[in-house]
Formats: sequence, C-alpha cells, structure tokens
Amino acid sequence: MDFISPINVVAVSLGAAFFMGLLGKKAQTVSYILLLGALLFNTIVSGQWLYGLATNIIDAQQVYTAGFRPPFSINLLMGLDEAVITTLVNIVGLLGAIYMASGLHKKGSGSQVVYLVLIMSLNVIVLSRDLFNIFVFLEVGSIATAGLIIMQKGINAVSAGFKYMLATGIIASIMLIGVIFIYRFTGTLNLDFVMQSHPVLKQGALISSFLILMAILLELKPFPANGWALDVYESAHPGISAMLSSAVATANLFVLYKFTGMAGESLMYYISLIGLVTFVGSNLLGINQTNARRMLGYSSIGQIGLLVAIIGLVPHSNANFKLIFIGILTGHYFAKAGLFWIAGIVKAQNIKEWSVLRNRPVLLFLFLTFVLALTGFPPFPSFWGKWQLVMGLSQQGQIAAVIAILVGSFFEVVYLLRWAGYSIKLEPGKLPEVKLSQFIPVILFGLGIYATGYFVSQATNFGDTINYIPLVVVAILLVVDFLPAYIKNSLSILATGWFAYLLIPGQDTLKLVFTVIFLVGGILTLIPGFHVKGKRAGFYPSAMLMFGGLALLIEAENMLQFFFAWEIMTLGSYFLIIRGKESMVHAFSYMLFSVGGAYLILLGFGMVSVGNTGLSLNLLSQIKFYPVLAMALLAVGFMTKTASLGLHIWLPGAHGEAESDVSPMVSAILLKAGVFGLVLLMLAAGGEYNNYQGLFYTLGWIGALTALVGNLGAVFQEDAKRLLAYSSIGQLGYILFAFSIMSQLGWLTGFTYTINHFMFKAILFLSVGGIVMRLGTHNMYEMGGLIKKMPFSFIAVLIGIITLAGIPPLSGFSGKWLFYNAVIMKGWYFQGAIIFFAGTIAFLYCFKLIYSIFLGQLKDNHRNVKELPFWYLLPQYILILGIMVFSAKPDLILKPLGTALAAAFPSNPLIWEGTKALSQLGYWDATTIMIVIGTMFVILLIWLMLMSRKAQNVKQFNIVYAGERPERPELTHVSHNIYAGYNKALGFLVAPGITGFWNYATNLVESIGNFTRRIYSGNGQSYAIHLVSYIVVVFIIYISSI
Amino acid sequence: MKMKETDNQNKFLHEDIEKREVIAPDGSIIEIDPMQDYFCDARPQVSEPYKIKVVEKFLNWARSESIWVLGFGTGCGSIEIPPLMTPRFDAFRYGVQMRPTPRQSNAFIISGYLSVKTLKRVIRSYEQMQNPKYVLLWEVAPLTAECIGTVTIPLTGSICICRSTCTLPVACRAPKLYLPGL
Amino acid sequence: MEFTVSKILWTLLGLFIVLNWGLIMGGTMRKIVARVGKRYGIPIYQPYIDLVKNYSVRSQITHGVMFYLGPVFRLSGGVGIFLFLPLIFGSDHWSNFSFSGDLILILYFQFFGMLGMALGAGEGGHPYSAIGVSRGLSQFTTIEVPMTLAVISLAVQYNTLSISEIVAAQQGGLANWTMVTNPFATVAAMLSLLGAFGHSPFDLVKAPNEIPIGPPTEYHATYLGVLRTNAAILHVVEAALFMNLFFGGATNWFELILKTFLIYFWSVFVGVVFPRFRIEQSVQWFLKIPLILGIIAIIVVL
Repeated sequence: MDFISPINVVAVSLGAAFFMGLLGKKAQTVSYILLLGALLFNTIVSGQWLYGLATNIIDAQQVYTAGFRPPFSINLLMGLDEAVITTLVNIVGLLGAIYMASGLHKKGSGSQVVYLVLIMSLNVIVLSRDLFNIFVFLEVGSIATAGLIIMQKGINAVSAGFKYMLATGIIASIMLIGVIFIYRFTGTLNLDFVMQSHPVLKQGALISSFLILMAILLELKPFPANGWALDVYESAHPGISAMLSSAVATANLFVLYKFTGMAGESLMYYISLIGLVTFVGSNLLGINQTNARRMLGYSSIGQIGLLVAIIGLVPHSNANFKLIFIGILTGHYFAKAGLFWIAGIVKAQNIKEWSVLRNRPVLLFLFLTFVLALTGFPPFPSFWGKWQLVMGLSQQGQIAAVIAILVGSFFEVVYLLRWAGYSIKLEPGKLPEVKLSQFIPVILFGLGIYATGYFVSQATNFGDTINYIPLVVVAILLVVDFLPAYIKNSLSILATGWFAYLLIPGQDTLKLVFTVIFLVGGILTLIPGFHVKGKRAGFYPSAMLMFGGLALLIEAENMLQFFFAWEIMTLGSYFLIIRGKESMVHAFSYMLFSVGGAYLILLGFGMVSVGNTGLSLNLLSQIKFYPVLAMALLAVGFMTKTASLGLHIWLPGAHGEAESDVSPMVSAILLKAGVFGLVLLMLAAGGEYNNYQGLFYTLGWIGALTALVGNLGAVFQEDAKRLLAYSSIGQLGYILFAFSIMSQLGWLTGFTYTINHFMFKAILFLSVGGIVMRLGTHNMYEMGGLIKKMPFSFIAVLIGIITLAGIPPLSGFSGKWLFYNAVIMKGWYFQGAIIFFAGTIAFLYCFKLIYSIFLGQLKDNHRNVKELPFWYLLPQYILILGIMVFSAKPDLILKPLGTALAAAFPSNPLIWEGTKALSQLGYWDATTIMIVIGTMFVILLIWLMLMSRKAQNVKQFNIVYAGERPERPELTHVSHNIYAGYNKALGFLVAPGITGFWNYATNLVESIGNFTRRIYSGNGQSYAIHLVSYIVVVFIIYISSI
Repeated sequence: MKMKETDNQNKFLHEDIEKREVIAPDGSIIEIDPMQDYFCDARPQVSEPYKIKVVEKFLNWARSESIWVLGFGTGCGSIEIPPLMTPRFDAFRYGVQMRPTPRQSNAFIISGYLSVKTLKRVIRSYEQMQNPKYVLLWEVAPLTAECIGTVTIPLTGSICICRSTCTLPVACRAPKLYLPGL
Repeated sequence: MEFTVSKILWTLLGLFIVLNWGLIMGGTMRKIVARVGKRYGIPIYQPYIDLVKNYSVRSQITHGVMFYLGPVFRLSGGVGIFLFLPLIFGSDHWSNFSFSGDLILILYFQFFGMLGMALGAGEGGHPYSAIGVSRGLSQFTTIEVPMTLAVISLAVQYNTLSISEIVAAQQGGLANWTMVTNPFATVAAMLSLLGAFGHSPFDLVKAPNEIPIGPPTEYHATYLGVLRTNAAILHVVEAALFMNLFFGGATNWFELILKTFLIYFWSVFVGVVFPRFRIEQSVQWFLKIPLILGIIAIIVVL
C-alpha cells in the first residue's frame, strides 16, 4: 500500500487555495467543492497514516523538504501521535466545512481559502519539527482564524476578531523572542537538535524555553488571561468556535506536548499548575453564565486547562499517559464541536431557551450525549480518561492535584447539567429549520464519541472487564422508543428478569439480598408501567439504564466496574427523576450530590490503589495510604446516595416530585445502592475486628441523627410523597446506624431494615403515588375518607405503616428487636435511645399519612374516584405477601444471613431454636407471636360481634358535633398542621439549618465567580495587559523558585 | 303558593346546605346535595329486649344504676347541673355521670326553654343517643312557654319527638331537685 | 413451651382475675379521687354496672369497617400485653405466653392497640378524635424517651431483656429491687409512667371538657364496653410491667394486687394534685428532668 507523503497536505492545500483564489467570486460552487476535496484529501492522508501506523504496517517517517537533512532544512515527522492529531484536526475541518456550507458558500472563495489555510497550518504545526516553521504557521493559523471570526456579521464579531489579533500578536512576539534566544543558545532551530542540547537550556537559557512554552500556553488561553478567547467563542460563528475549540486547541496542545521536551522538571510543575488553575477557575466562572456559547467557551478553556495539566502532571513515560490524554482530548473534541454546532442550529443564546431541542428528539439525544461526555460520564472517552488520570495521579501520590481536578469537574457538572435540565424540562419554543448539512456532522460526531468511548475503554486497564450488555439493552430500547409503552414495558421486565436469572443463581447470600431488591424489585416497580397509555418516550431507556447499572453493581469485581456501574445507575436515575412535573430543580440537586459523592468515591478508590496493584475490590481491605481517610471518603460518597444527615436535602424533592411509579424505584430500590456500597466497604474494613472503630462510631452517630431529623421532618410535611421521602431519610439513617454497629446482630438488623424498607416503601410509594395520580394532588389535607373508595390500597398502606412502625407481629418488629439487642450489646446506648425516639416519631407521620388520606371526611370532589388500577395493586400485594412470609418466618432469611455473616462477625451470633431466636440478652419467636396475636384478634372480634346489636351504617356527617352539624368536609377534616403542638415543642430541631448551609455554600461559590468575572471587562487593552502581566507574574514565581 | 313556600324555606337555609357543584380530579362535574348526601335519614334500628325476663330485668337495673347524662343547658336551669356533681349533692354516688357526647349518654336533660333555633339541636342530639334513652325536661319553661310567648309549637314538638320520660314542672331552682328525676 | 389446653385455660383464668382486679381497682381509684374532693363517690362496683350497661345498649351505629375494628385492635393491645407478660414470678401457670418474646415485644406491642384505636377513631370522622390522637401520639414520643433509657439501663444492669430473668434477679428482699439498686432508672420510668397512664397533668388525649373525650368521641355501646374492658386490663398489666421491672415482681396474686395498686395509685395521686399541661409543655416536660434522670441511670450502670 502506498502512503501519500504528508507534505502533500501542504502542497494540495496550497494548490487548491491558489485555484480557488483564481476562480474568484463567480464560481462559488466550484471553489466550495475544491475546498471539500482538499479537506477530504487531507483527511484521507492523515487517516491512511493513522491506519498504517496503528496496525504497524509502516513505521514513523521523517519527511525532508528541499532535499537537505535537518538542521539545514525543515522536516516533518509523521508518527502515530501526529497521525492521530492530524486525523482529528482534518475530520473536524472537513465536517466543519460541511456544517458551514451555506456560510462558506455565500462568502465565496475568500473565506474558503482562509478556512483551508487554517486547516493546513494546523496540520503543519502538528507535523513540523522546526521551531521557526511552527512559529510561522502558528501565525498563519492565527491570522486565518481572525479572518474567519470576522466573517460573522456584527460589531461583536469584529471586535472579538480584533482582540484575537491583539492577543495573538503579543503571543507571537513573545514566541519570536523565545525562538531568537533558542537560536542564540543552541545554534539550531530544529526541535530534535534543540532537545539534545537540553542541559544547556536548563542552565543558561532558561528564559528561552520559558518564553516559548509560555507563548504556547497563552495560545491555550490560561485562566485568567483569556478574556479575549471568551469573546471569540461567544461572538464568532458557532462553526468557527467549534473549530477553535476542537481543531485549533487540539493542534496547539500537541505543540505544547512537543515542546515540553525542552523544559526541565520544574517547568513541568508550573505547566501543571497553570493547567489546574485554568481548569478550576474557568469552570468556576462558567457557573454564572447564562449565555450558552460563552458557557461553552468557559467549558472549552477549562477542558484545555485540564489537558495542559495532564501534560504537566503525568510523566510522558507513563504507559497510560497517551490513553489519558486521548481519552479526555477526544471527549472534549467531539463534545465541544458537537455542542457548538448544535448551538448554531438552535440559535438561542440563553441556556433557558434550549428546550427547543425537544422538538427534535434526536437532536436532544445528541445534545445530552455531548453534555454527559463533557461531564465525564460513562461510556464516553473522558470517563475512562478521567478514571485513568485519577488512578495514575493517586499512585504518584498527587492527591492535591486529584482534588483540584475533581473540584473543577464538579463546577463543570454544575453548569452543564443545569443546562441539560433546562433543555429537558422548560417549555420548548420553536426550533429554527434544521439544515441537513448542519445535521450530518453532529450525528457523525455523536456516533464518533460512542465509538471512541468504546475503543478507549478497551485500552484502559481492566476496561475489557466492563459488561456492555445492559447498555446494549438501553440502546435497543432507545431505538424502539416509538413503540407503545406496554411493549417496551414488557421488554424492560423481560430484560430485568433476564439479568436476575443470570445473577441470582449461585450468588452469595449477602449479595443475593441486594440482587433480589434491585432486580426483583425492579420488575415489581416496572409493573405499574402497564397502566400508562401512549409511548412514554424516554422512560424505558432511563429505567433500564438504572436497573442495568444496579445489576452491574452487583456483578462488579473491580473498582472500575463498580464505578462504571455507579455512574450508569446515577445517570439512569437522574433521567427518571427529572421526568416528574416539578422535578427540574430537584433532579439537579440530586445530580449534584450524586456527582459530588461519585467524585469522593473516585478519590477514595484512587487512594485505595496507592501502593497496591490491580483494581480488585478486595483491595479495600488493604488500604495502605491514609486508610481511615480513604474509608471515610468512600463512606461519605455512598452516604450521598443513602441521603445521610447533611447530604439529605436533595431527597425529599427528588423522590417527592418524581412520577408515581418512579418514586418507588428510586426510594425502595435505588437508595439501597448506597447501602450496598456501605456493606461492601464495611465488610472489606475487616468485619468485627477492624481498625476503623472511630470512623464507624461517627457513622453511627450520623445514622442516629439522620433517623431523628428525617422522621421529624416527615412529621411536618403536608405533601404525602414528601412525607414518605423524609421517612426514607429516617429509615436509611437506621440502616446506616445498624451497619455501623459492626456486629452480627447489628448487621442482621441492618439487613432486616433494608429488606423491610424495600418492601414497605415500595408498597407505600406505589399506593400513595397511585392515589396522587388518581386525585391529582400531593397535599394530604385535600384528601380524606378514601377508605371506602380504595379499600385495597388502604389495606396495603396499613400493612406498610405497621411494618414501618415496627409493631408486632409484622416484620418491622424483627428489626426493632434485633436493633435493641445489638445496641445494648454494643454499648451505644444514647445513639440507640435517639433511634428509638425517632422510631416513636415515626408513629406520628404514619398516622398522619393513613388518617389524612384514607380516614376522616371524604372530600366532595373525590366521590367518584376509583380504586387504584390493577397494575398498581398487583406489585403491592406481592410485596405484602413477602412481608407476611418474612414476618411469620423470619428465620427463612435471617438464618442463612447469620451463617453468611459469621465469617466476618463471629462473636455473639443469633441462635435459632426452631422459629425462636435467642440472643445473649433476650428471645423472640416470630411465628408464635403471629399465631398468638392472630388468634387473639379473631377471638376478640367474635366477642365484639357477639355482644353487639346490628350496627347501623351511617353517613359521613352523622357525627357528634355539639348539637350542630358539620358544614363541609373540608372544614371537618383535621389534617393540615395536625401536629402544631408538636411543632411548637420540637419543631426547632428541623429548622432548615442544613439547607441554609448548602444555600450559603452555593451563594459563596457564585459570588466568588461573579467577583472574579469582573476582570473580563471586554476591553482589548485590558486583555493585552492581562497577557503581559500573566507572563511577568508566572516568570517571577518561576524564577524565585529556582 | 307552593313555590313561594319553598322559596321561603330556602331563604332560611344556610348557603352551605344549598346544592353545589364540584369538579372531580378527572374533570367531571359532581353535583352535591348536602342535605341528601351527608346525612343519614334512616330510622334508628333498635333491637328487641332480651326475651328472658330475668336477664332483661338485670340489665334494666344496671341501666338505672348507671345513668350517663347529656346536659342540654339552654336557660337558667343549666346553672343547676354542675352543682349536681359537687360534694354537696354528689350525683356520682347513684352512678350518675356527665358525658360530653350524646353517643354515650342515656339521659338527656333539657334544662331550659326551647326556641325554634334550639329545637333542631335538641332533636339532633337526641337522635344521636343510643337506645334505651330517657329525657328529662326541667323547669317551667317548656310547659309555660305560652306565658312567655316565645315558643308554642316547639313545646309539643319536643314532647312528641322525645317521648319525655319525666317532666319536672317545677320552677324551684335547686340542684337537688334533679336527683329524684334521675 | 407449647400451647397446651391447660395452659390456655390457666391463661384465661389469669385474664379473668386481671379484668376483675382492673375493674375494682378503677372503682377504688375513683372513690379515692372523690374522697380527695370531699365527695362520697361512686360505689366501687360501679365500673361493673357501667360495663354491663354499655354491653346492653340496644342500638348501635358504625362509620365503617375500620371504625368497627378499632376497639378490637385496642382490646387486642391490652390482652396481648397480658399474654406476653409473666405475671407471677416462678409460676408456670401465670407466666402466660411470655415464652414468645421479651421486654422489647411488650414495649412495642403497646403500639398495636394505640394504632388500631387511632385508625378506628379516625374513620369516625370526628375532628376531636383526630386532635386527640395527634396529641396522644405527640406526647407518647417523648414519654418513651426516659422509659427507653430506663429499660436500656436495666438491660445493661441485669444483662438480659427477659422479664422473668429481671424479676429473678430482684428476688431476695427489698435491697435487691431495682428501685434500690438503680434508683435513677426507676424514677425516670415512674415519671414516664405518669404520661403513659394518661392522668392529669398528662390527660391531653381525652382532655375532658376541652375536646370532649378525644378519640372515643364517636364510640358508644358495645364499642365503649370493649374499650372499658381494655382499660381495666391495661391498667393492671402496665402496672404489672413496672412492678416486674422495678419493684421486685410478684410471687403471688396478693403481692401483685398490692403492688399494682400502689403503682397505679402513684399516677392518680399526681393526677389529683396537678392541673393539665398544654401539649407543647407536656412534650417538652419529658425531655427535661426525666430525660436527665434516664441519662444518669445509664451512666451509673456503665
């Protein structure tokens, strides 16, 4: 196979440009075709080299010009790296030209020539090994870019182009000085020869390498000397912005990479610092943006900063350096180009207007793909890059850098996901007409990012252990999204059942509990979906994303699989939660807490991997690097999912506002994912005899206080679903507490609570969700007296609250009994008493829930409501059956669990004598209790019936009313603020202090951002001063440190 | 004429008792007729006394020894009821107790005059008592209503409705006079 | 332990005795209260007559199924505690079905009756019922805090949660009673008992003359009879629970009668002296001195 020499890129481009110039304005179409042809040629050349070098058909090749060898001539190097970068540049160049077809076509050959020259110059600076040559083509590129910027009409674009020229002028002069110095000290301008004189550079001519690197860095827009670039991103044609962000930045980054050989170690440190500051600072400022393109500009600068930091931080000899770099680079490259292109299609500036995307689901899907790719969610390339980066940095011990990267990423998540939320939820306006030429590049890039993600994952360490089957299921559901809901529902149930079938047999007991909760629970909570009519677009892919993530979580054997599953699940649940009518804000806060938690987990995993080899989850038991801190980070990460105190504020809204059948999914099932993480963590910590007593003691207190605050919060709710959501917080507090006890009884308590909470919360949320659906209101005081209309739901809710409250003989009591024994044996009396107090508080909201909804006075407008649909009742009654079995025969589950726990928690086991459980302290026989209470109840009922005369049914208002009669049911139903007295006594405990704290934190971040943003005055002169002073400041810091 | 009568009646009806329409969650309109929908107009179903005389006699004794009173104090007589429970008269020793709810009471003490406005409350309270029930009319007011000139019809009405068990047409105001009645 | 016929018969006999003692004790207490008020008071057999009368009312209404079941739940609560509580120490016949669960079961079984009653009263549709229930539940949450601390203190002290074993550990004279060995726990529990028995100053639930009689406003006739039966049983068994935990238990019926009488008398005694608290006062009261005493009780046994 013949390889076309890369020099032809220059030749063909220049030739084409020359002809286009000749053609003039008359033959626009011809010149446009010429342009496309030249770009296609470039792409083919670089693609061919990429193919050849990647498959080892050919070796890296030097191309010499003018018949001389360097240092007397300019040489180009085409290696694998260069091939990748030029391919990326040329692809975006080609697609960009297609995207801007109408613009380039209309403007005629002039702009087309400039465009072609830009792409050519980018190719050259990537390939060239000659300093001066690179300088020249950087200049050519800058001028071409400026030309393209002012192609857009309007004063803003012109002014931005001018500022761009100003900045690049300064940068060029700095670079030129550097080049002169280099020549003075080394006598050559060839990069390879310059590198060889590295020692000279280090000692005598520091300034020369410093200036050259600074110039390139400034070209990459470091924070805060980047105001000029922001204006460009905002006001240039989106196609140009895409080029700047994807192609120009990629090429410049590569130049920086090429030049780093000149710099000493100390300079690398500063490069990484500059990169990190840019990443964090730029993303921080991005939070305040409402202009989509400017926001993308911030994000762009931030991502480039991250890449700069990677060049500085990760040793280039590190085997994973290229993977990390390419992972994050391609994530940025595809996503940013795609987003800028979509921005051109949408034409809306304000991010709140982006809901127009909903008119074109494909476009929305692509938009979300790009946003999620930028935020580093799997399965996109940046996820793998970031994972590998964090792991690598941790292993180098650079935890501070990891933290900075995670903080910056978090800021980025904030504004990108807010934007995503707006586009999903706000009322859509009218979408401008979409041209096919604009649409094709976006689609291709969308496909490209998935493909790249897959390839990068395969190159990642342990990336080949990732199971993609759940994602395939999601993809299938996405494709068949046009089908009616019941078909997709059946498909989803089948798929979940299939996961369960694969996972359940042979699973060890502890994981089995969670498998059943996740997957059988998944099937049960999907059943109500049969009630939905229509298509229910987008629901099933999200649900299966979540359940698939949960299945993967069970399956995970190494940290990468675990984290992948965790992110997938988070993503699915986000899309589920945001479907609720009022859910936008709540889903957003859910996502922020989840992502924050996920980053803590990532950091924790990073610390776990320090000093260990491999990624196995078993490593959690042998943490070598600050074990307590690593454990704490992981625990807090999981606790964001279990909504423990301080991290709970997202839950009430997210669960309360979700759709009727989503609430049970996210409450009864999803919360258990956090519990699952904690269980894994605590098991790995060493079971009963661990070295983390202090940590678990703290967790115990947090659990106890969470239970108290959660339950107390529930008491004062008027919204039925929020009441249940607060109750979840409380229940998860119990669970956290119980597991923190770290004894066999404690863990049995934890498991009992987990199983119970799964069952009763699913029942309650299904009932209440169904009722909310029937009545169209969340407010309990607008309900009442529904027992006669919905007797089956009443029974379900009654069973649910009896289990919740822990009243014998139902299984809630098992938890309470185990809990008491565990607490007393552990010696955690005061925490235990708080939990007990919380438990009694649970009665308050249980009563309020069932009374306000089902008892009391029936409202006039609810006279004709029907019982809940069959599809809502079916799963509830299956779960009731489960509760009954677990209540009567708790030994069926607790006995094998005890055996399984005996390995980690050998002392003080629960002993079973038939159905009777014995602890060191007491005993309890659930079966007997069930029989005694059942028999007694029946006998007493018969007694009452025997003694009674015929009881006459009376109507609603036949009540004693002091000789008067009630007037309206609304005025007779005591429900609103029913616990006013209690609020007066203890309400101060649930004053929203924690919400206040988070509000304060958010405000602080925003005001810092706003304050810092003031440096971007929009004035070209100030920007010039920024640039110069930036160099001076960095130089002073740098020099003073040597 | 008939129309006029109903109009007249409606004039006295509280607006809450008028028919009204509400919108159900599914958007349909439901017509509410408070007088028909909220209240039960079925006659109380009273079961027969036990056939065995001894048992019934025993139960009657128990009923007589445990009289729970619903006080309906409308006039000057009502002030006499509280002293009934004070050390001086101590009705408790006869098993007499005051109950705050008609559901649990057996004896109904109407201790003052009745007017049209009060009558319906008397009837309502009376209907809410369970059988067997007794009524004690107290004071001259019910009987000497004509003299006072306020109520005439209610008088007969109340007697007819409540089948007064015991009437004490005495104008003397002394709590101890309740006791023989009870 | 098995459910033999003789065991069941003995238990029923025990229930009969407890019911009678409960009725008589209730009558006696009302007599005592009357005497404090310088009244002659009811005959002490009056509760029997009231009961017979309530069961013999000839008409009855119902607001619905849950309304009907409410009193059954309530009575089950009382009878259930009786069934799970060993009454007389060392006696197989009077230990009832206490082999099926320990102290925790009893503490939680109290809620069974409360919840059922609350629901029944709720279906009655009367506003006062709901207000009464909400007050009762509110008050109950904090009543249980010192009680829990006392129970935990006891469990630590005796290293058991079995009531029989706690009683066994107190045998051998006054000096071994929890009252002496763990006075703080006893005081904390006795203060929370005041709330649990619902006499003044903690009689907000029924709150005579304020929200007529709270939850049972709509209950009458046989329902009321069932509720009164329950009250009689419940007073004895709750007092017996405290007796078992703090006052050395009972080895024979006489001892049980005496001790339960005195324990019940304690709440009546306080009741005739103090007027009613408001709800927030009552809720907070238990979180003050009783709570501190409970904490001390735990610190002492540590």
